[in-house]
Amino acid sequence: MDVQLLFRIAGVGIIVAVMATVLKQAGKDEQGQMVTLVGVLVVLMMVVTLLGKFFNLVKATFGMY
Amino acid sequence: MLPEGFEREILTYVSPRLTGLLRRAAEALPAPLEEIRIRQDRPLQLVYPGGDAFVAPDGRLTADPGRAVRPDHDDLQRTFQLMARGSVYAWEEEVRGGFLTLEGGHRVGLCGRAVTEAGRIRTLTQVASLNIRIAREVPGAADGLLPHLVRGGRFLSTLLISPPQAGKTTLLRDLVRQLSAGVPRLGLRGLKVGLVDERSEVAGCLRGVPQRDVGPRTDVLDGCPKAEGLMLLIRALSPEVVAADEIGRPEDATAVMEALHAGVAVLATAHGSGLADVRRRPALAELLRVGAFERAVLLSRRRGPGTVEAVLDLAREVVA
Amino acid sequence: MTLKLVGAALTVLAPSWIGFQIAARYGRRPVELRGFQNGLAVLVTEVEYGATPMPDALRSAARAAGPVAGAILADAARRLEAGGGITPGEALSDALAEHRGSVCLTPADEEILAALFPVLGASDRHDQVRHLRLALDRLAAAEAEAADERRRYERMYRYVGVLSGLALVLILM
Repeated sequence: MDVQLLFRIAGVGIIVAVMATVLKQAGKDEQGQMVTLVGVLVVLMMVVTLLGKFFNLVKATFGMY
Repeated sequence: MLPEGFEREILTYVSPRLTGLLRRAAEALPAPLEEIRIRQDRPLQLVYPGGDAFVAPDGRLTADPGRAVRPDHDDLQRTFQLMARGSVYAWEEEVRGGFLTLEGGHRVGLCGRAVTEAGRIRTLTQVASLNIRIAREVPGAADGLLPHLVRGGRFLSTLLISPPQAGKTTLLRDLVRQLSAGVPRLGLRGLKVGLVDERSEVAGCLRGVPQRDVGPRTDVLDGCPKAEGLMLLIRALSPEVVAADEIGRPEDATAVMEALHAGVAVLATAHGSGLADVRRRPALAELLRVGAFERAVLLSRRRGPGTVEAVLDLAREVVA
Repeated sequence: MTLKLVGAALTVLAPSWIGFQIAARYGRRPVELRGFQNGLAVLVTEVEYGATPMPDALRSAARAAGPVAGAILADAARRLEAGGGITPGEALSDALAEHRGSVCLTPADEEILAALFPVLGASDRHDQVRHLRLALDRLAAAEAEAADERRRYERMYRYVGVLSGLALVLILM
């Protein structure tokens, strides 16, 4: 299992959090929320591909075709 | 016929839409252009000695005002602004007096809506009529007159009496020029002349510098009330002759007397069609009674502006 | 590997640079507005006390107005002196249009100056001073607003630029 992916997800999370705070401070709350949302979606995409891989592995392991 | 310097001194300051028209129209005139009259939404008119004409949209002359080109609001405003060199505020006094002076001494009469304050004109806005009067110098206008005004190399105090438009100012200007330059054939050396030009008509000053030729020894006090101006000149500039246009108020008379007591010769003009007219005005009558002027010159328009009707020796009788 | 690093660096730098550019615009706007105010203040003095002719007045206003506003005012003075039948307002308008690419003014700021175009030099001293003072007041209000925006957005755009660069690198990695 790739540790790099964990770091990536963590990095995106931190950056999105900081960006959202900065935007919020500048009074652009809406844009801040948008950035958070986009961040969540990006992370979700990464996780979804991983989950897909995981299910495929399960199927392959138990021979459920 | 185009007057000299027309392109540079006049057309530069007219709305670009009208310059071409004016150039063509002025060239087609039978006599030198005297006045350009620009009125908002009314026919563009040119005046020359002996007549006038309107300018058609193709730049030709027409006698029919209905076919003439009509300058619009923008033309008027632009021309006004250009003539004020984009700085109407810098000519406040002039605008209040209803005129602007262009380089070359051309005068532009203004008419529009007056803004008054405490009964006095504060300024003119919405200028709707411009009358560009082309200055034409007539050097030598006083040639025939001058010998009668000089005795023993000395200039005699003179009063020019004339009805309006009879060439009084032109004659005054040429007299000033000749006195200032000196006239060797009369044994007259150049004299220091002080000129009070209350309405900027004689010298046509632009920023204090005379635009007309008023002679090398002439100092011009521009835009100054005559009485005060005469006193100032006598005190500060040691003139040998002082000149002023259109005297007539009591304080003018006092100043003239002051000049004479200081040994300064006076050259002045007054409105009137004869000596009798002048005698009816108290201030001038008093001056004549005490013998302030040695010569009086009567002008008329009989044979065109500047016709000299008579030169009177006020000490004795008619000279010419 | 090195290629990857260089690519990553570029990917971070590009959005950062954009962010800094936007931030700089927010920083320059109040400075330019202040420059115009200084210039107009000199113009008021020249008109009110000196009755200086417009090209000279514009030129001395340009000297007081700092680099950006000064260049525009000086350009207007030059155009006015070149003649060609244009009014001072049109000279200023043309100069402003010419320099539009290099100024950071918003349309609202330009509107304040545009209100001067038809009256500049076209009326008596009293009236000129009134219009110029009105423009000065409006510029001061605009400057206060610009300073507020600068305080809020200048830093933000820098951060957002850098952070989005980093995020991009992380996502693409």
